[in-house]
Amino acid sequence: MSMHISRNNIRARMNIRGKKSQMEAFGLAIIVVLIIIGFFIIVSFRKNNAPVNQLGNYLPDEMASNFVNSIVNVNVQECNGYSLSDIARLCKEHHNVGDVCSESDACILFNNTVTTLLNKSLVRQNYPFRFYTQGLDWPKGTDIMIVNRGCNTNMDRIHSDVPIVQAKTYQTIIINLDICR
Amino acid sequence: MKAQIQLGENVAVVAIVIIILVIGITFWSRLQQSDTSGITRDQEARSIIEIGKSLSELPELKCYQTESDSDVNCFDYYKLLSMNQTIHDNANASKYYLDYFGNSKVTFQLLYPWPETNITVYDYNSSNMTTLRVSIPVVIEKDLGNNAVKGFGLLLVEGYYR
Repeated sequence: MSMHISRNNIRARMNIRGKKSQMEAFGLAIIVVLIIIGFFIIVSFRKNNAPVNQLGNYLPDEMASNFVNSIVNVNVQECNGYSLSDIARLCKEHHNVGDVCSESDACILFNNTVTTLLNKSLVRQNYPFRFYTQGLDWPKGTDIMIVNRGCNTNMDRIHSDVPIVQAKTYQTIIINLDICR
Repeated sequence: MKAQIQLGENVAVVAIVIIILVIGITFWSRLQQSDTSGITRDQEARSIIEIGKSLSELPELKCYQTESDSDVNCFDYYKLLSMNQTIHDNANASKYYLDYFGNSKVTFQLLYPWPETNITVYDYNSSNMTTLRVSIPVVIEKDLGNNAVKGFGLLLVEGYYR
């Protein structure tokens, strides 16, 4: 009887020791898993908070705003003393500018000058862009639209515009430039 | 024997923890390194843009402006030529602006209505590497009064860094 009890005791002790070591191993495994989860959380947090490429936005933004603000002040080569904004106003009023410019149609002059300026700057630097006017009503019923490298309204883009107000009629022509990213 | 086994277990646990710590520290330091190099590049690029912006405020270069033109970056053609002449004639002239423009090159590219010309107004290069080139559309004014012609150009700022 006593022999039987001692054998049972030994078995019970061995079971307890086995369970204890299993629990230790399990605890270690939990610690390792927690550390791995911690690393994953840190990495995902850093990715979500990665600094936004402000420079990537800033350069096209500077280019767009400075381009539209500059070109409206530029004097048109074919006309003596007339700026591009003057020519846009004359185009809107369908004025014949043959007496002051080498080209009589102000709208053709405006379109040619803008195309030249775009070709020498944005096209040469490979910017994808949409240049368009609003309120010019030329060609009849539409407006000027110059697109480079397939830039369209579905793309992520930076917009800049400059209004040209007509003093007599208070109508506004808007020169727009979208630079796509 | 039992004590030896227990000691072995403890040593194994400590070794595993040390390995995990070493892997973690290595991983962390690499993340920090990539962050630091990105920030440095960004700061260099920002300084180039700042140079471009500050140039339009320089009385030595900017043109006479009316109120309505104040939003436009306008530069005087003859001031640009004069500055170009000065830096060519006097090697120390660029050093005068070193605090403002650092290691960079500032060039005005005349595009319209005149023939295309480059006018360099500042060039100080203590290394040969160009990091970033920024171009800003500007108005360049030639002459004043009835003879005034406002042309179109680009302000090119290149930054030199090691």
